[in-house]
Order: sequence, then structure tokens, then C-alpha cells
Amino acid sequence: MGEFVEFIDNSNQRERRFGRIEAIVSLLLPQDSDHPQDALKMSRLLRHNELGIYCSRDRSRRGHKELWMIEEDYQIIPPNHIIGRVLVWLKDVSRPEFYDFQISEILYRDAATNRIQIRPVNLRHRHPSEYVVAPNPSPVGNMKVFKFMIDIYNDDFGTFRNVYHSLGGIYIQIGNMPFNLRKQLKNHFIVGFIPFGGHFDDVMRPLLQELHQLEKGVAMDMDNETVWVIASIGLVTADMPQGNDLCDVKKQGALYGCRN
Amino acid sequence: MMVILKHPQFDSQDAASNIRRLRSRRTRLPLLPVKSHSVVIDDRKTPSTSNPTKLAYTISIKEHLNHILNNPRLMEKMYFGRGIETPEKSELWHGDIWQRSPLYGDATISIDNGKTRSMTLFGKTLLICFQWNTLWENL
Repeated sequence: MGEFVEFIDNSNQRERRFGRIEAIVSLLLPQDSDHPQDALKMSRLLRHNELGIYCSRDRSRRGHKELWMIEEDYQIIPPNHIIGRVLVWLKDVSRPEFYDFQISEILYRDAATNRIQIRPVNLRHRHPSEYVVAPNPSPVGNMKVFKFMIDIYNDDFGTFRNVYHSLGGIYIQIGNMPFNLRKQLKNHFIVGFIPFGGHFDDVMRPLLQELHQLEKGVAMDMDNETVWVIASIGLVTADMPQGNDLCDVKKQGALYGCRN
Repeated sequence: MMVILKHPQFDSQDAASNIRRLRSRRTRLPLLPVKSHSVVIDDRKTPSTSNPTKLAYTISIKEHLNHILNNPRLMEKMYFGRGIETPEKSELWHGDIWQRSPLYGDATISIDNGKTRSMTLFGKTLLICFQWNTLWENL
């Protein structure tokens, strides 16, 4: 995941291109929907002659050693289309000892004008492998591993009918549940309440250490069997006032709010 | 009493040791352990006479996960596989706009047997455009 490789192009079988493995997915084919197939989601890297109007003389000169990133038209390829690994240096991270190509610029489509723009590579969307905490492998080889996605949900509610005294509720939902289970009230698990005038950060502070631990993985007992559990926050849900609080953004009443 | 004591699943650890706990168990089931710690209260929102700190109560996330793991009715329905790429793009998150810039982006999905509706996520508003004939048939 996140590795740069050389692979056989989907549209033109004879063409080889460079790309990055964005994700390992299961592909559901319409004729055989019961048996999902293994597939890789690839982002493409462009050569200098594919840059269109951005193919300047300077870029062509660097072209033998440089590739360009693009964040659209992902390809889904079978794993046997991978030819081999290439070493790529993204120029905003530290320089590796050996590399085949370097990337200093990224192309993306501006949705407002629908035109391709070229920008420095440090403005790209980071691939999860560049920032996610790598979980520890399970201590025993044949342990079952369960990965949970936690959705933290935060909302204020008034406790009295005619006095302003609101409490904030912090709940978690588990993203692994299908939607019909997740929406049930019994599957919203309460973590705590923020007292009136308190802050979300202060209430969550003792739980942070536990979340860090869960990201790395912990052993738990499940029906007389020890399993390895990895859980991390995938999502934080909040409504407008709480969402603004969490992002440190002024609310709708501000004179010069962030979202005006 | 003897039936309970001789039951194979009886564990002396489960028996309450004091009378007050026994009384509370008659009315409700035991709760998850609740921890407390003090948090600072914003003095702009409260009267000047009230305490500057209050106790906040939290339940450990690990404890919740442990209970979910040992609930076979939940575990059999939960999904632990990898992402699925579907050729039929019927939801907004099947496209590329998911995980991308929340401000601008363009995505088209196809529903109602191929009668296209296009969706554009543009700034604060979600514009949904219908093809005119689809709208006409729905009326």
C-alpha cells in the first residue's frame, strides 16, 4: 500500500506505466457478484510527454528522471498486472539513498474551472501510508485480528425546558456495522458527557492514551479466545455548532466568520 | 438456592458481597465501569459563585469494544473485510469525490435504471440536477 510500481495499463495492454497502489480492494463483477475478486486501485504517474500544455522545454529536459502525479482516473487492475517496484522520491520528504524517479509537481483538476492545474507536490492529498500509525503485529502468529473503525459523535442537548444549561454528549459508533444496525439507538455507545461550560478536549483527554493504545493494537478476550484488536478513529461526526467548536471556527453569528 | 449453587455456570465471583449492591441489582443490571476526572469550567458561561471545576464521567472505549466483541449477535453481522469496488456506482461515495476536497468537486451518479441525475458538491450547497424527462415522468 502506498508503494510506487510499474504496471500494465488497463486500456492499452502493451503499454507500461508507473503508478501508486492506492488501495487493495475487492472487485464485484456484475456477472459474478457472489465471488469478489482481488484487485488493486492504482493512481497514475504521468511522463513528461503526457503533460499536455504543461510540457515545457524545462520539464522535457528533466523528463528522463522525473514523473508527475495526477489525482484522477484511478485504474482498477488485477494483481498480476504489476511488473515491479520502482523507487520514487517525493521531493517534499527527505531524500532516499537510491531512487529511480523523482516527483516535484502534481496535476489536478480545478472543479470550478474544469481545467488542469500544476502545483508543487507538497500540496497533494497524503496517502494514508504517509501518516497513519502502523499497528503492531499480533504477538502470536495465528491470532485472529479484528480492525474496528470508530466514529466519534458529539452533540449538545438542553437538559431543562426553560433554563439554558446544555450538556454535550460524546458517543461512539462502530463503522464496521451495516447501516441498519448502526442507526439503532442501542448501538450508539456513550463515552461521556461534557458538563455545561466544559470543553470537549478536557473530557476526552484521559481517553486519548487509550485510543493511542488501540491504534497500536491490544489483546482482548473473545469467547475464551484471545484476539488482537486494532481500533482507530475513522470519522468524527458533529452538527454545525459542535463542528465549529471542534475545528476552532467561529459560528454563524460571528461578524467575520470563517464560512461567510 | 441449591439449584443455583450447583449450576455449571455459577461463579462465586458473580455473587454480590454487600447488601446495597444486591439491592441495586434487583432494579437494574450492572453498568460498565465509569471513571471520573475533573475538568475546567468556562467562567463566562456560569455564575461567578459556581465551582471552577466539575467532574466529568467517562466510560472506556476499550470496555465498549470488549462488550461488542463478546456479543455474537453483533459480531456475526459486522464487516471486517477490505474495501469493495462496485461497477454500479449508485451512491455518492462510490465516486472519487469521497475523501477529496470538501469545498469543490464534481460527481455524477446514475440511479433509476440509467436515467441520469447529476450531483455537484459545490461550496456549501449540494445541487441536484435532474434530467428533464426524469422529472416529467415523476410528476
